[in-house]
Amino acid sequence: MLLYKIIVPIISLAFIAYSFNQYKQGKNTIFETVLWSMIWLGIAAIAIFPDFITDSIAKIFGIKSNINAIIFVGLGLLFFIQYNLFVAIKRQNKVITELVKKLALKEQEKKE
Amino acid sequence: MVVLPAYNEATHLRTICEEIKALEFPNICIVNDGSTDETGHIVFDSSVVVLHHIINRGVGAATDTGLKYAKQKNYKAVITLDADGQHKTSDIDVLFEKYQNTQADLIIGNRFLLASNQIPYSRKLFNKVANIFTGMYAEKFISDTQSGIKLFSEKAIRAIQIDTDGYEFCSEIIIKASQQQLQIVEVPVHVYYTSYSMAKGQGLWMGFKTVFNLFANLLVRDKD
Repeated sequence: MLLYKIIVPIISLAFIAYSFNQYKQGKNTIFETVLWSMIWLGIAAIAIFPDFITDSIAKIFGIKSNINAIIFVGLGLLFFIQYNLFVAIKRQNKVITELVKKLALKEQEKKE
Repeated sequence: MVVLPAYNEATHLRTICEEIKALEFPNICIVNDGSTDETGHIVFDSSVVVLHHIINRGVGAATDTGLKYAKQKNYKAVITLDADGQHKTSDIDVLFEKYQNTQADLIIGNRFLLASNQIPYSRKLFNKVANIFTGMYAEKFISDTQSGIKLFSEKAIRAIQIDTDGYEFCSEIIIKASQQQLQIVEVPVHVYYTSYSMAKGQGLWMGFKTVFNLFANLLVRDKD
């Protein structure tokens, strides 16, 4: 058995446990926890059954080679994560700006 | 009221305020946008209100704070201008006169209508790109969308809420004014580009960033 078939599932399990721990502490929503668990389960499954899963993905999407299928799915996943990060940062920025504006007006109100 | 968004403008601020007062516009609101120089410590007389952003958020955010203050105080019109000395302060009179004659909601000082203005090529290029982009969204063509000198009527002050932080607010204002069917007019204004104001304003790179930010903001709207 190849070493990565042991290491990757162990790492995946560790991250799934971490996600559930974050959920228990109220830092993650149930949706985020399930989503991340599914992603890590998928990675573990690919490590254990690489040919079967990648060939199946390639067939489903009509992509010729299984390597290409993995790259496309990986890229799609990365874009999804990137988009979520972008929206989250934008929202945080907006909240900070609103806070700064309100503080400036409140300080002036106190002076007057 | 005249609103001056200011970030590290200690060298010009006092002079600009004195010039504005000499034009008989006694109500000035400076929005110190988290400056790290002496901008926030300059002492003015009681006619000048200084609002302080505790951290730097950008010229769009600072302008919005000034407009919100004007709204609170029920001002009938607000003129905003950059505090880096690139504008001729007497152009405030030109904008105000236009307002009195037309009662327009948004009056934009157009830097390209005066042949005597020496505008760097990079600024002209960026402005053209921004005009096209803004025009596409606003469905109205303005030939100087990125001008820092503007007049807002009371209706515009109440109707326009600026959501963007940086220079992209210039386009945002036009898009929102157009969407709310406010009357927009342009008047020719002077502009002076010095090495100081060039370092502060929108260069070509900053221009691309501005267009990207505006695009991103229009694309990803928050649920408020």
